[in-house]
Amino acid sequence: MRLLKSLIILALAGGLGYLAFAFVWGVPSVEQRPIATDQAAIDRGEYLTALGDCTSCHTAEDGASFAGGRFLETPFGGGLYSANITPSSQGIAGMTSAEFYQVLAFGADTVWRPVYPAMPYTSYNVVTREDSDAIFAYLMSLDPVHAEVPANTLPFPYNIRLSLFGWNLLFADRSAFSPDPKRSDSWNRGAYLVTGLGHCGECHTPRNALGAMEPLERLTGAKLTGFEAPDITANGLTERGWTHKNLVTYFATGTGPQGTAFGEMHLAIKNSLSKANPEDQSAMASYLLNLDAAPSDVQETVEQETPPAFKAYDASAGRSLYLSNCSLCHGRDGRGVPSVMPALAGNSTVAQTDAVNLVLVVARGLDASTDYGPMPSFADRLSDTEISDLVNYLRQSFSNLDLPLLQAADVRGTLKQN
Amino acid sequence: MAKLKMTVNGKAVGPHDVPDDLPMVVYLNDILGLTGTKFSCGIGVCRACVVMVEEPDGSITTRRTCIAGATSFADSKVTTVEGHATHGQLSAVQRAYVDNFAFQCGYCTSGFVNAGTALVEQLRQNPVDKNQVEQAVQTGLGDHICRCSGYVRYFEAMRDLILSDTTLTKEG
Repeated sequence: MRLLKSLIILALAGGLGYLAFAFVWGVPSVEQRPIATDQAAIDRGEYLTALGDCTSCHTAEDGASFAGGRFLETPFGGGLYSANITPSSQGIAGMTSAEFYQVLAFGADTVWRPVYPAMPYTSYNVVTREDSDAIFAYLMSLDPVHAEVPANTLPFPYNIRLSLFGWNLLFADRSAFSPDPKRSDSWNRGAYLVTGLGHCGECHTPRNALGAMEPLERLTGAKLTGFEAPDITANGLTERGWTHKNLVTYFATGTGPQGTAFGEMHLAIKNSLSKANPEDQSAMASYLLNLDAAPSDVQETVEQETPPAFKAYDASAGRSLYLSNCSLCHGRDGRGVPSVMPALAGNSTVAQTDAVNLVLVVARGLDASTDYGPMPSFADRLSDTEISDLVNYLRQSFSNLDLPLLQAADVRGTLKQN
Repeated sequence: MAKLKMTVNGKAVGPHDVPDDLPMVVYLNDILGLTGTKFSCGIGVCRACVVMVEEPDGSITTRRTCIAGATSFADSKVTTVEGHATHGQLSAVQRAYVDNFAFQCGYCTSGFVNAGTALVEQLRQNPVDKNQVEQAVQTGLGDHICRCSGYVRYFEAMRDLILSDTTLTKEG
């Protein structure tokens, strides 16, 4: 009895202690500033909102822009619905610029309702207050959309919002962006955008068991749901053939010699990266490739004039499958048709080490995108062995990397897990 | 090159020596002389080139022949638009399209005939509730493109045909 009493007292003390911690540490205080209403601030905010790709998550399929309600699946079962961020009573009406910045950068404007880190405040912490205020000014200038957001479906204990302060203490960096004085302005601008508004790491960085990004494995590639977000470190990108010029083209158009954007990246290009101005696109490419300046066109042209020398790979089964199932669109030599069919030769997805995305695209196909027709699915037509033969042929023939050969069991495993 | 044989419209054809990347539509048009299957967009979008395929388990599916090599149809049972009418009599799907004036130039029609017939066969194996017929027609034919814009008439022809055959629906 005494033990039980002690345990209850301990639990109560712990709970009160945690609550005190949440009140003291949970929501950093920030200064109150008026909402900007001038057109210049609103226009700047619109641009920054695009760079932050707010719309991709805060707009439901066929829903009104920024009215929320998009379901975001989590690895913990259940999921979250994105918030309405239009100035309606179900959205951000009545919010102050300080509260908006607190949510954006620290994930909470009140102890009672912290937001889940599906909202990338774990990256937006580097966004400056000025940029946050401009985004807020733009969102507050929108027409209010009266749309209720459904309740989240996260299971216990993940549905206890208060626990997020503990998570934040362990995993959420609160530091502001600090430019590297040894690097160029363009590199630093790229670093600010990639790590902050662009929140690239949220998909491209592996996460630990509690869903936090692994700081030592930044941008090395990760998988949340569906397709894998590939390695976009300078090494990873260079290895798979990306150049500065091609990255900028990819940001602007979603396509290029290294392939086309699909899955979530298609949205990121369509709603965000393609709307960045050329200087910002160049800065992000410079940062990702770890270059202080964009290489001159002359340098890159010389680089690209050398045709990729693909290895001769003896795989008659895979080649027959390729010719009969793929070559009619992608070409005998895998070079595709510009603006109609993506090239496979030199394609960055073909060159990914674990071939997860390649296997998924072959097996399940892709919906049509703005620029490309649909990719048919082959899972019901080709066996696991045939898919592995085909994928091995693609990887050995159309990539210069020394990629491991897949077995039918690898294909089976990938399809089962996804 | 590959030795290719298959069954087309109930008849065994081949073996033919064909390149691995010979499109199926070219095989049908130029080697078998079955010109009813049309090459149109060439990128698998418009579905004018669709044929019916009977899978080994007896189920009926459709495939696009412009983006698929003939060798990927090896040993398959294929039905093209030439294989539907019997003894000079149009099939029920063909008759429904004619009666509804569904097509004008006719370039997309062979694809619609094959997709419509495949849909009827699928419903015969798995009937749907009457109130789901429109959705079934939408799913079965919705991806087919008709530049003369005969969509509504194709749609109505299939809907009415399915609703008039009690074996294709169940009370819902």
